[in-house]
Amino acid sequence: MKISLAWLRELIDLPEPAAEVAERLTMTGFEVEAVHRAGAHLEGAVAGEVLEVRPHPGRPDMHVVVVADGVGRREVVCGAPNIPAPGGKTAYAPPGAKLGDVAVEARRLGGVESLGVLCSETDLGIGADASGLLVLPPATRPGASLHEVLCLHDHVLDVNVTPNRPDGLGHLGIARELGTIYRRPVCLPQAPPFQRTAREVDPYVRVDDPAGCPRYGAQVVRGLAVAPSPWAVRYRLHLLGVRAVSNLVDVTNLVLLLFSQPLHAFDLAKLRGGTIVVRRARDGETMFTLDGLERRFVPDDVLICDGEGPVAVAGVMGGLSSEIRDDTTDVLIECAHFDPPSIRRTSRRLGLSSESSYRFERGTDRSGVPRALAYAAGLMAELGRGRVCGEAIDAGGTGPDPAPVRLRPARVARIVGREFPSDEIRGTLERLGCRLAPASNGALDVVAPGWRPDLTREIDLVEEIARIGGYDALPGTPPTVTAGPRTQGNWEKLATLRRVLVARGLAETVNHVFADLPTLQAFGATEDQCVPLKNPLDAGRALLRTTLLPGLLGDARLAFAHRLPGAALFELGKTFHRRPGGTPGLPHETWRLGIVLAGKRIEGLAGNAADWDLYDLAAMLAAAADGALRRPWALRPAPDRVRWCHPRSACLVEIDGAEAGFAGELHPATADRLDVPRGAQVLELELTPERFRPEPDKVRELPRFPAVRRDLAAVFDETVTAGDVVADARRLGPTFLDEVSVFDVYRGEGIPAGRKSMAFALVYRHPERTLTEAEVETAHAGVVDGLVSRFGVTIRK
Amino acid sequence: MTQPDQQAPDLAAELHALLERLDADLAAAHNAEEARAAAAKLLGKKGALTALQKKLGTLPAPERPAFGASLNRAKDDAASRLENRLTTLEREAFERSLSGPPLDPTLPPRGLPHGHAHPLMSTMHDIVDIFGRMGFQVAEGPEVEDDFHNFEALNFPPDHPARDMQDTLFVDAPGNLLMRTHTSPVQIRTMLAQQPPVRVVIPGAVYRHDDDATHSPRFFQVEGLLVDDHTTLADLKGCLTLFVQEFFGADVSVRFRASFFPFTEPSGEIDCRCVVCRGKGCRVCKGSGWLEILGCGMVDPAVFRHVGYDPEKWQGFAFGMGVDRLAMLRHGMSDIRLLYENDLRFLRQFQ
Ligand SMILES: [Zn+2]
Repeated sequence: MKISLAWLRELIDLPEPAAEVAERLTMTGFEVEAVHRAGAHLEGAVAGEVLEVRPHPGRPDMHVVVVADGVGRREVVCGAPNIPAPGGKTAYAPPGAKLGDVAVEARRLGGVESLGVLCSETDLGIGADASGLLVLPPATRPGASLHEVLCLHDHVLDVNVTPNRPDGLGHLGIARELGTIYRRPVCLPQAPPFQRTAREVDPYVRVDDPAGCPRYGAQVVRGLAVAPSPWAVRYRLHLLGVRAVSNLVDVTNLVLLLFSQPLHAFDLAKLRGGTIVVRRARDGETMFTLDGLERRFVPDDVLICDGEGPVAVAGVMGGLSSEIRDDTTDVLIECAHFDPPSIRRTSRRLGLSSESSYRFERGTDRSGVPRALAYAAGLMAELGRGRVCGEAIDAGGTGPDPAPVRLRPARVARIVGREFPSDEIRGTLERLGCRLAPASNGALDVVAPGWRPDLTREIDLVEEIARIGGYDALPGTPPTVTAGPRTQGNWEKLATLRRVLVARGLAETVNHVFADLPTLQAFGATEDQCVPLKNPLDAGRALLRTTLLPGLLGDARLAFAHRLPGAALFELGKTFHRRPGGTPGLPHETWRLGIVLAGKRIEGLAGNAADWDLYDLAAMLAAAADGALRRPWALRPAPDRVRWCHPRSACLVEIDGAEAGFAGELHPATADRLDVPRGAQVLELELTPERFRPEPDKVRELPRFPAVRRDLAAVFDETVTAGDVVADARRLGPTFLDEVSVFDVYRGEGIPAGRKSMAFALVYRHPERTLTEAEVETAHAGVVDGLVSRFGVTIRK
Repeated sequence: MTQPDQQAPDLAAELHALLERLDADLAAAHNAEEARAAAAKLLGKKGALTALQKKLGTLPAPERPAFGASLNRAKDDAASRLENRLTTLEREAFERSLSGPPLDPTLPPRGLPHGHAHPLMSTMHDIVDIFGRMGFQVAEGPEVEDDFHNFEALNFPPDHPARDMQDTLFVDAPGNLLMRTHTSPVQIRTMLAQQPPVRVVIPGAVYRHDDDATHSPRFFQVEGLLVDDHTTLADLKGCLTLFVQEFFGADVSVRFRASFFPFTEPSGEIDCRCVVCRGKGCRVCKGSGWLEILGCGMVDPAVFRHVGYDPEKWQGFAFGMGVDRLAMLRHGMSDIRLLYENDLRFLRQFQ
C-alpha cells in the first residue's frame, strides 16, 4: 500500500521527517519497505510562458515555440498538438535540466536548434497524460520551479499491510495508527460543504441478503459533468499508483485510498427501474463485468441488481452496462459493507481480485459508511459541478454493538513479561478508538472501533498494548535451559550420516521432489504408488518422487555438461509413496540415502583416474552402514529385482539381514531413457528409524590364546560369491573357527572360462585354550570337504 | 699396537699383519654385514685368530701365557676395530638416509579428496545445534500434510485472506492433502502428542506454488516452539536475540518489531543489522540497513484450543526462519537459484 506523507499531514500533525515516521510505523507493525521522495527525479524544470508560435521551416508536424523562462527568451522545437497560444503557460525543461535519467541538452531538430524541451506529464514523470503538453494555470509566474507550481514535493511510503489490519489500507487508518503512536489527535477528513437538494426521483433500495450485505449506503448526485480531475487530484493518484480517469471515477478512488472504503458509482440512468436490490445470485445467472468478460454466478455470490438483473458483483467488480461514461450526468454512489468470507469466495471462484474485493474480504468499517459516503458525494458534487440529491439511503445501519472484550491487566503482564501501568493500558486503548468500561477485579470491558475488526479477543488487546508500548522497550530475558529428553527421530543420525559421507569424499545435494511418471517408472514405481499434485508447477513436475536417483543423476548430467570429469554425489531426503489400495491418510514418507558415482574417480594424481565401480559403491555403503547406522550390511545380487541396474552388478542392499535398498551400475538402457550419463554407480537406501541403532557398541574380550591360520584356494563357478563361500565355511566350521575372509580372486591362465579362483583365510582360535595341530587339521578338513561337496570345487594347492 | 715383549717375533709380526688386513677389509666394507664378515675372517670359527688359538696347545708350557695374552689382546683389538667401523657405517647410513631429493609436498594427496557439505544443510544443522544448546529437542513431521495441521489448527480459517500469504501446492488425493507451506504443522503434531512443557526445534523442507528468480518451490525452514506455564514475550526476545548473536556474531545488533502471523499473538519479527553494509543501506537490505531474520510470537490461544491445551494455564512462543536466507547471508550469496541447482562447481566451494 502506497501512503502519501503529505496526505497524512492533512489528517494529523506530523512534523517528523519521513524516515522517522517510517521507522515508527515499521516497529509497531506496519512495515515500511521503502520511502520514495516524490519529485526528486526532476531538476531544473520550470514554468514557461509561450511568447510566439511559428511553423517549423522543415517539419510540417512541428512548431518553433519561443518561451520566456524568467531568465530570457528561448526557442524550442515542439511537436505537441496543444501548444498554448501566446501568453499561455506550460512546462519547460531548459538545457541542463534533469528529467529522471534524461539530461536535457540543446539539440538540432530538422535544422533548427532547440534549447530544451516543452513537456507533458509523462515526459516529466509526474502523470499518465502523454497526449500533450502540461498546461499550467495562466497566473503562473514564468521561471517558477515546477516543484513549487505543481506542489510536487511529497514522500511515498511503501507499507506492507498485514491481513489483520484492513484499516491500514487507507490513509485514515495509518493516520490513526500514528495518532496512537505519537499521542496526537487525528482530524477526520471533511468533504467540501454541500447543500442537499430535494429528492427528485426516489431510487428504491432493498437488501434481500443482510447476511451477505449488512449495510448498504447509497447517495444520488445529479447534474454532473465528466471532466479530468484537477491537477492535485491527478498527481496524488499518480503518486499512489492509481491511474487518473475522470473526476467521477477519481473520487471513488480517493475515498478508497483515504477511508479504505471501496465505492461503486452507477450511472443512474442505466439502472433499470431506478432500483437497487442486493441479493444472492440465481444459479447460472450471468453478467458482463467492467473488464468485458461474461461472468456466470452461483447462489453463493452476492449481486447488486437493478429492476431487471445484476449490475455488479458485490464488492468485487461493477457491471459493464451501468459503468460511468463520458456522458453520465446522474450517479448513484454505493458505499456498503459486505460479509468478508462471502466476498472472498466469490473473488476466488471468479479468479477476479480487485482493490475493492481485497479490502472487503479483509473487513471494512461498517460504522464508517455514512462518513465515507458523505465525503464522496460532496467531493463528486464539487469536482463534477453537480448537486447532492436527497438524503443518503442507509439500509442495515451500524448494527448492534459488538460484545465487549474483557481485558485483565494481569494477563497483559503475564503474556508480555513486563508490567504496564493501568493508565498506560487505558491510554493506549482509548487512543486506538476503543470504548472502555470498568469491570470487576480491575478488569476493563473494551469495545473496539469499527475500523478494527481484528480486535475481538483479550489476546488481541494484549498485542495492541505490547506493540504500542514498543517491543524494543521489553527486557530480553535469556532462556533458562532445562535438560529435556533425548532428541527423538532421525535428526542426529542424519547429521552423522552426512558428516561420514562428506568425509568419504561425496558432495551433498538438495534436489527437488517433483518428477514425472516415466522417470519414476524407470526405477520400478507404478502409477498407483505415486502421489500426484493437483496444481503442479508444470507437467514434468506433477508427481512426488518415489526415489532420489533422478535428481542425483540430473546433477551428474549437469556436472558433465560443465566438463567436470566426474561427480560423486549423495542426498539425504524423503520419498513419497501412496498408501496401497487407495487407503486414505497421508502418503508413506521415508528418509532415504541416495548415492551416485558417475564418471571418473580421481585419487591423488589426475593420471590415476579410473571408472567408479561396484566396490566404490560398497565402500560408501560401508561408510554409511558401519560409520553412521552401525548396522551389519550386505549386498546380494538381484538382477531380476533391480531391473534398472546392469544385470552384472544389480544388487539388493541388506541391513540387519533385511532388504533396505539397491545398488549397482545404472542399466545403460535406463541411462539412455533418462538422458543421463552411462556407467553411473547408483545406490539407494531406506532409512527407517529402527535402522539407527541407539545402543553403544559392546566390547568383546581380547583373545588370550594363539590363532592358527589355514588358507584355502579353490576354483568356483562365476555365479558363486565370496559371501556364499564365507557363509558356508562359517556354517561348516566348528565354533572355534574365528574368522573367514577372502584374500584373492583370480581369473586367467590355468582357470577355465566361466570359473574363477578364490582364496580364503580361515583363522581358528579357541577362546579358552590353545588348539592342538590335530584339532585344527580335523576342523579344516571338515570345512574343505563341505565346500567341495557344496560347490563341486577343485581345491588348488 | 703390538707390544715389544718376550714372544717370538714371528707371532707378533703375524698378528700385526692380520690386524693390518682387517683394517683394510673393514675400510672396504660398505655395510655392517660386510664389516662383520671381514671381522669373522679373524674371529669366526674358522678365523685366523681362532686357528692360532688352536696352536696354543702345541707350544711349550713356558711360552703359553705370553702367547695367550698376545692373542687375547689381538682379539680385543680386532673386536674394537669392528665396533668402530660399525659405528662409522651406522652414522654414514643415517646421514645418507637424510639426504636424497626432497618430496614434492604440493602433489595432490592420495585417496579421494574430502567431499562437500551443502550450504543449506550445513546452515540448517547449525541453526538446530544452537537451539539444541538452549535445550530444544528436534521434532519432525510429514512434508505432505492435511488442511487441519497446516492451516486450520494454526488459526487460518477457511475463506480467510491470511491464506493468501502462502500459495499452496495441493496433493491430488482424498483428505484435503497439500505440500506443507511451513514447518508449523509439526508444532500442532507435537502438541497433540504430548502435554507441556514443550521445547522443540523443527527443521525441514516446505513448499509453495512459486518458481521464479527469487523463489524456489521447495525451500527450508527451521521453526521452534516453547510452551510452559510462564514463558513471556520478553523471554522470546531474549532467546531469539541470543540465537541471532550466536549465528551472526555477538557484535550484531538486533531489533524486535511488531508483525502478524495467524498462529501467534502478539506477533513480531526479528531483524539484525545488515551484515553486508553494517547498517548503511545496500542492495541486500534494500537500503533499510536491517535484514529480516525470523518471524515469531506468542502462541495464539486459538492454536492451544485446537490441540486441547488450556490457554489460561499454558503459554509460550513459536518462531520460524528461512534457512535459504540465512545461508545466503552467511556465505555472501545473492542468487538463491544456486542453492537448488546442485552445480558441482558451486558445491565444491564448501568443505
Ligand atoms: Zn545492507
